Amino acid sequence: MNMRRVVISGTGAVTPYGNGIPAYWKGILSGHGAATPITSFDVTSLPTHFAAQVPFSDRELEEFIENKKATKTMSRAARFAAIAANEAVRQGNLDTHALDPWRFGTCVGTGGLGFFDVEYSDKLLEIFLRSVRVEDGKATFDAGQVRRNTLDMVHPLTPLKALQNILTAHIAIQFNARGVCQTVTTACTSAAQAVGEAYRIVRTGAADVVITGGSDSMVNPNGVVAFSAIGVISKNNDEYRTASRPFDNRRDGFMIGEGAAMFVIETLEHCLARGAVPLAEIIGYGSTCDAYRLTDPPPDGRGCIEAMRLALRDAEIDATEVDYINAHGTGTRMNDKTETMAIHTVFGNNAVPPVSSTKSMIGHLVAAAGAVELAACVLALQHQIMPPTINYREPDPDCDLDYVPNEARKAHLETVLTNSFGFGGQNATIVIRKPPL
Amino acid sequence: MPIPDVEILNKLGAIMHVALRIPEAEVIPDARIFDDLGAESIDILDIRFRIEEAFGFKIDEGEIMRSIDPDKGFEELKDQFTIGATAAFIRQKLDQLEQGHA
Repeated sequence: MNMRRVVISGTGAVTPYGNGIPAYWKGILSGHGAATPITSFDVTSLPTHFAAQVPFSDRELEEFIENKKATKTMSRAARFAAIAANEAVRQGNLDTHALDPWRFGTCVGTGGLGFFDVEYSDKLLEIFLRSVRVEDGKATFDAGQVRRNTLDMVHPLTPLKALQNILTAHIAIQFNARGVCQTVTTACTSAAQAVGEAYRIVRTGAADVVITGGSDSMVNPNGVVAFSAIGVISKNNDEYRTASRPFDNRRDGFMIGEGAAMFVIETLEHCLARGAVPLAEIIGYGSTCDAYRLTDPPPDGRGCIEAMRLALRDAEIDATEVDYINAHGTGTRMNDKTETMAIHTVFGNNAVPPVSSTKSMIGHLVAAAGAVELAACVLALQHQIMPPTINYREPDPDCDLDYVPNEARKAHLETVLTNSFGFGGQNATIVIRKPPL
Repeated sequence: MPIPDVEILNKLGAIMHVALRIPEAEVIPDARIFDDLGAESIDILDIRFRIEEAFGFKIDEGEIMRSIDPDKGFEELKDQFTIGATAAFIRQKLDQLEQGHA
């Protein structure tokens, strides 16, 4: 099959550093983390009190969205996605009206719990409270009443916010993209797989242009409870500003982040024909499943290793050609150790390029992680600077790579690789390089 | 003390402003909710929910349309589904409630 070359021609982001790619790049070069105390709901009864939060309320986010009515059915994540997609289209100078709408698609990664926002969670509490009957000083709980109250009290459009694909549909409607429309929900691998699948869609000719990326918001009561229950987030409330410590021996879990990054990707030919400038070329994608345990990586790191190898093979390059790796690097004990081992295996002990985790600054954006990290890679290529792993002080003997500690570093970057791994055992690796001149 | 018609219209204006993100000035009695104010079908669920909350009564599915003409279908009544017709429906519901309590 005649494979087409695929380029990224536009990027957009909503991150804990604010709205837009410039704010994001400035933030991840600053060496200052984006952690803030959670104030949108009461966290005093929970073990974790902080996150890397987008500094806008849902209402404030509406100001950035042209179609105000559409926001009624947009979860917080859908709002991030719409704003970032708009930035990507503008940055890529893409005249969406000039495209063949049937050759123009969408493919976005997102999560499943984002609609449990503070308002909905509070409403559920009220419903439960109203479903308690007190008779003769004895309280009983009426489950049937809960269902009746839910029907009466929950806004009828709430279920639409809960459907993951609605986020993608909003983008398709916004830009009249009538071609392929896919939503990928594979936990922390969602965005990387979405971009990878979009790359394949364009590469194999199923569409010419695709808006892709990822968006998520787990900074809500259910999100914090869920991650606390699984025991994967940092509880270091006293030192929350520096609690996200990937690869450091003092790490105690990841910091929850939220936001989105979106891209316009298209064939190189299409990009050049419309007079646009490619920002980077996507040259390889690998995707595997550990088929082991739901949340533990296999001790030999086989799934991560094979994802990287597949991506390098797809890119038709040797491992030695990779100049920088943006790691999954969550800050959990197990991930960082296994990922380090997997990188050693793929690159050989003496040929590992510098590796950094931008999660040290923006936290783990869960279903959006692979997208914001790919955006960091595109920016790294553009500016020839590797963003750092901040809060790195105490080396872990099991994590012995060059993690670009604490300060951004200038480097000659031609080819970079980014990893994403997720609960369920999904692994995805994307390789990009400087755009063809 | 019954709610005056002008208050019904004012409340409907506020509801349409939130539900359809349109200026309240556009919410005039002759405005057709679909064609003039740009509603889509899911907006009707939203509007119904907000009317229920604002006026304190429940509305059955299709009840507003039936109040315009019980013998005609949705497509036939679409153009008659106006702010004025909705206000008249609310008036009728409130009056029924008033009589029920009397």
